[in-house]
Amino acid sequence: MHGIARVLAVAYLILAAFAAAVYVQITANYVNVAGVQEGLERGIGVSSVWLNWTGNASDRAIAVVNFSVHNVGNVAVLIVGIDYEFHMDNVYDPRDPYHLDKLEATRIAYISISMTRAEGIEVRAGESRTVSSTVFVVPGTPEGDERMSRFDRPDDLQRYHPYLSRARLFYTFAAFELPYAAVYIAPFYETEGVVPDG
Amino acid sequence: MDDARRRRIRRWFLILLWTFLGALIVGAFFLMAFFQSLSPIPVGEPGAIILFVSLFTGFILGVLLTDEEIVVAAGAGVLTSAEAVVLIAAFLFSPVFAGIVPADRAFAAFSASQILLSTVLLFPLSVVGSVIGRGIGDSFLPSPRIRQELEALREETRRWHEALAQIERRQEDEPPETRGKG
Repeated sequence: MHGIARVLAVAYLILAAFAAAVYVQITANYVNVAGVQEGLERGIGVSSVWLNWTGNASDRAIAVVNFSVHNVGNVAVLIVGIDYEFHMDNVYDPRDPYHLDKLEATRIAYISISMTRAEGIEVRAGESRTVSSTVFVVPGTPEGDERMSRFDRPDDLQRYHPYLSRARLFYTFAAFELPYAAVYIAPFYETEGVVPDG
Repeated sequence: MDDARRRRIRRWFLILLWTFLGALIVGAFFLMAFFQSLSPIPVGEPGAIILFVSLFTGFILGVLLTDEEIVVAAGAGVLTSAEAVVLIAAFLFSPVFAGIVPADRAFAAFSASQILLSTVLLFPLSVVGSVIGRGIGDSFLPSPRIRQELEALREETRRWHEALAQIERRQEDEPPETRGKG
């Protein structure tokens, strides 16, 4: 082999060793990202809803929705947004809560929270976190009063049955500049009912 | 094992080694260019990277195979691309192999389109690069063995020319009436 060809052969070997390291790393990253994407759907849910309210229809009410996020993957994720519709069930309406007409009649608010990457909530690998979101119901305006009338629907035991529909969580990865991805959250219905606290 | 057999095995081992290393380079840079967000090292424009790396790797491969026939160099370029495509396919299906993602139709369609794209892009570039590298290596960087063979060939050709020139001279020296007579 010619002297220059020998030099090229050594450079070729070094480049191949570098390429092999990159190949292994990029494949590990891809597997980890896919693992998070698959696992996050099972690791997300609504953990609780509570009402900060006096129970008086003329007072402002705050509903706090807590989402639990368990990252089963091997890389950290950033929660960058949550979308959902907040409803208060009217238990005297016999229709299924997720019946389209009833969803329309019980909707209190459509909540959409979005954050930048810098503001995103980091959930490290194997970690669980709670992400809270608030819904305000403020009477005193025609729209606010209409909302409050839908909100103030207790059952016989003075318990309220909030529920969520079309809930989605948006996430990305802390270590990788990937586009935001969405994961659907299973419908949540507060069966036992919530007593307002406030 | 006789010497010729050992040489043949070594020769094919080297060809396969160079092609596999070339495939690693081409495959890794292809993935770095197309999956930049997953890459540990940022690279530039994907098209430019794929064009340059495939041609460059093919070229070096051609130079390294200067001792071989040009057909072998072209075949090595094809083999490099094929192995690179296999590496890219292994990467794309790695979540399936790891048992994380089910191999559903959408996943297969995405992976198949990426594999097809890589095949179309890599094959011609690697082959052209290896043929050019082989040609340039042959012209400017011949190995000592090839140089010796060329020198021997030139020497033999020179001897033939001299022998022919002697025959011609002898024929010219002979009187014209004796020419052509047994």
